[in-house]
Amino acid sequence: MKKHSKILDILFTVAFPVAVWLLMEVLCLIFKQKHVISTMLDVKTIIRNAGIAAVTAFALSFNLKEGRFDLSLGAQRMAGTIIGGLIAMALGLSGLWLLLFAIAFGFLFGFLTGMAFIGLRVPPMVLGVGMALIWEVVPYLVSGGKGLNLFGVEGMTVLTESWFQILVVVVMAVLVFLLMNYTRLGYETKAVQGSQLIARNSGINIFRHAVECYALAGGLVAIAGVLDVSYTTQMAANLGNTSNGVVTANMFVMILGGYIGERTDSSVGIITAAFTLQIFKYGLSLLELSDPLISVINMLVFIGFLVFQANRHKVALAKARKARIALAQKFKAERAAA
Amino acid sequence: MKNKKKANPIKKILESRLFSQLMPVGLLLILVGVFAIATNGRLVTGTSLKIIVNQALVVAIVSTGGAFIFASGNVSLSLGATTVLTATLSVMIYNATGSLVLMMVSAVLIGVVLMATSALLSTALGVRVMYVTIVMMTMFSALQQAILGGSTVAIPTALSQSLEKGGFMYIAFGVFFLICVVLFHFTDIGRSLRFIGTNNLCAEQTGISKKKYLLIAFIIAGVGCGIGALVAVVRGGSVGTNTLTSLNMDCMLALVLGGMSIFGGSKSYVYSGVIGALTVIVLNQGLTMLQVDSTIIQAIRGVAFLALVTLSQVRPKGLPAPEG
Repeated sequence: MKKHSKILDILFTVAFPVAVWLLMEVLCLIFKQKHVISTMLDVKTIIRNAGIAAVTAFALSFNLKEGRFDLSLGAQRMAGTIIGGLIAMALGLSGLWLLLFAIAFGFLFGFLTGMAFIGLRVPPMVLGVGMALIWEVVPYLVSGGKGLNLFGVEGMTVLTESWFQILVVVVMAVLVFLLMNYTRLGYETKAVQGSQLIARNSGINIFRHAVECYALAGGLVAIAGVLDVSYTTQMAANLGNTSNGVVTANMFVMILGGYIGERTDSSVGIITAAFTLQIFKYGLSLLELSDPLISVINMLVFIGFLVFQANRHKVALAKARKARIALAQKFKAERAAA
Repeated sequence: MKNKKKANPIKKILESRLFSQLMPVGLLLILVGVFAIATNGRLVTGTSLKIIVNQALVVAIVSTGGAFIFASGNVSLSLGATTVLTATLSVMIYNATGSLVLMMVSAVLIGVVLMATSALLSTALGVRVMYVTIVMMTMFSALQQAILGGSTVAIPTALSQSLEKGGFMYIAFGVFFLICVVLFHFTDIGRSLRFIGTNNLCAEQTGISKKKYLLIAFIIAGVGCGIGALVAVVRGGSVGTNTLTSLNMDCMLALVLGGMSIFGGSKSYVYSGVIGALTVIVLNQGLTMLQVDSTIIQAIRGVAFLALVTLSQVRPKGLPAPEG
């Protein structure tokens, strides 16, 4: 693998948000005579949205990196946040407790999904569709169809504080970094990413590992749910397998984060990608594009990036082939001359 | 003397081809029977059966096309979004031109183009099918919202009623289904797709082009989405952002309930979508007639889906993964 200097790696990482900010700044100045970031509110909004996107992408990455796409993550997010929130409110507890309860329930739903996966052993995407149908029903029934409403509830102000949201995201990033680099789980993740079959044959308990990944993803996605509800003050209990949209929308963050993180670390990559894409979306919204249109543009860029990802090795292969041919021709010419 | 392991007779029956062919029909008949008794015959009255058939048509058409993709061992999550976007665009074309023929032709063409784009991204540009279908699902859905805003588009009521009375929905379904049966069970297309689903590597080594057949599968599914969109427009008269929101899930559910193996391969049948669609609607209708809460119906659908997927596959020793 090609090694780069640390400074180049840092520059490569920083280049993404800076380049996107510059692009959007130019576009906004040309078309709307506005700056992308002009007030503290802009900074706070970007930080909050990037935080939600980053935590969701962390949750996705636990399974998706190993080829499992859990389509029930959105339902776990909804169930964990609503049930955790309702319990905290019923007990008259503060926002911090809401977060802890949400994490606990998200973890529980993730754990149960993981147990279903190792028990039924059906493809993860198919399992996700079925589990989403089941998990969506739980918060709907528990809340009587009302969902969670934090408007005017005392003790929840801490959740809306920017410092608290930044703290949560930073703590999550550090935890994921430690988990992925200094624990058995991280070691096993790298092994299973390489080959599940070889990992199993070398003694790794892939069943336990899968359940751990599902449970951690559930806990993390519930944090994203709490960060979201702290701003919107309410979360609806949706039915009809519609809960996963918020999660799939952040798949781009995870994939781009993986690419950026190749030079540093995946946690750093995901946070950088989250900020990059939030600046991009924020800029588009300043251009007064509608949310669906922003989503379409975002997905088009995502497709472009996926195509690049799937084919970038071809450039290196073509270069290597060219070099090999040049070497062969040089050798042939030398022999002919001799 | 060698100790030969006796094959478990129940396992043998469960894994037999005959069982996989008869089980979905049996399940449908059992459900009809149980709900007919439980609802004192209300489920099997002429009006009720007509409602069931009409409701099942869109799901049956789209999932019949989708069966070609599933047979190759791939899963498409964008069938619903493609159908709804196609319906929206075809209605807009009718409203702009006033031509029914143009609306019908454009619906099929739009469906094909949208699905073929998904296939080409995977086959020609190397993006994983899983990523492509998820991105396309999100993008088509957002595109429809961007086009419609909060409004709906509609064809004239007189037109939708005359098409419905003229039996357009049944003719469209019948023709498409017959063509699909021939293509799937009596031509190289179906055989090759099933072979790819059974053993991808082996199929390629015997000269079957996975890319070519995957593209064909997506194109046929696109035709299904186009015809499904037309039937949905004729039935509903209008299209909005809340139209057919559960179509994607219903198609997956229908294929599984209809006996299609989620891994594709030799135990794939093109009629799975039709039997499954009827089963899904009978389940919904029966439970609704018994005044079961719609929330609980969703949970029952989820449990039934997972139970049938589990039953329809041979449980792997390891965990499902691309390498096996």
